[in-house]
Amino acid sequence: MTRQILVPIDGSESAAKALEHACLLQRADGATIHLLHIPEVPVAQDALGRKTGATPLDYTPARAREQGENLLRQAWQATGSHDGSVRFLVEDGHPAQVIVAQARSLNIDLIVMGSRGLSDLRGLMVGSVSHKVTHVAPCQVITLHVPE
Amino acid sequence: MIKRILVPLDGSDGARQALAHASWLQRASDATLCLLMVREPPSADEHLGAMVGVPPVETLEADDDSEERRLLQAAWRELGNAEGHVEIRVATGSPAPTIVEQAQTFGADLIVMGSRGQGQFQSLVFGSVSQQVTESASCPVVTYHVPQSETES
Ligand SMILES: Nc1ncnc2c1ncn2[C@@H]1O[C@H](COP(=O)(O)OP(=O)(O)OP(=O)(O)O)[C@@H](O)[C@H]1O
Ligand SMILES: [Mg+2]
Repeated sequence: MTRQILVPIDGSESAAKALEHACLLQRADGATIHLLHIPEVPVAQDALGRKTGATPLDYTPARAREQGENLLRQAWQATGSHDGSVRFLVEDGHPAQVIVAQARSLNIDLIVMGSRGLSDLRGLMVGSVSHKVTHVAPCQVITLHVPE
Repeated sequence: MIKRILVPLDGSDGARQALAHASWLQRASDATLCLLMVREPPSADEHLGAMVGVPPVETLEADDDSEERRLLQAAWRELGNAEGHVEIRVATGSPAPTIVEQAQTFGADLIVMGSRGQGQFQSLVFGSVSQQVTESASCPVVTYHVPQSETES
């Protein structure tokens, strides 16, 4: 049976490193890699947005989905592993919940994720998404930490 | 490309699974593995000897690390990767700083370890050793988490 590996991608350096790691595993055993992105609704970067947490005017779910797909495709291309088998998934919801739910429904054997993600809280060792996923995932989880 | 992988082992299940994972990486990258066991020195205040300055019996025997070496050799053989390069190390000290130090002298470009060792609280996702190592290592650290349901059984 082919091993199924899930790599959640949020666009962070840490997640990109996790994907590199998953590619190495894929080279060893021919696993299938599932790349998953959960769009997080952004906060507008203008003064009003920062004050009220409003989303940017040009934000639409459809656009977020399209951007998510591009993000995954670019992340995959950056690894240079073009001959490995890969699936792209963009899903809405709370990142940790979606990751765990997808791990169940796709019969994932292993989740490989960054220990940190996009948020710029320095010094934080484990982000809230990876913390939650390592707690409740139905399968083995690897977190990759890259020193700052 | 990964060339040198350090795997600290403490006899726990999580560490053994982390080692199996490292073995996959080794096959994919042709890296050299270093299997490390850290022995904690007996704490001085446990012994009357500390008060009167006589070393406890255990420290007299502490130089003999053949038991640890035998365990590490057995763990390596179990992986069945006879052509792979491996180095066996036994060191004495406080676990986390010793692991970080050994990673440096080995020239590790990756540390692979279990999230929890022996006798850690189930509620902790990261045991204190893997947490401290992750904080202070100068190379990437892979932490291997076994699903909660497996550790409960
Ligand atoms: N929206 C997302 N879509 C896909 N994967 C995600 C998403 N958010 C996080 N991840 C995954 O979780 C890993 C850890 O990110 P996490 O969000 O936990 O850390 P953080 O952003 O630094 O902290 P926090 O979000 O708690 O402030 C990432 O490397 C990535 O693999
Ligand atoms: Mg985040």
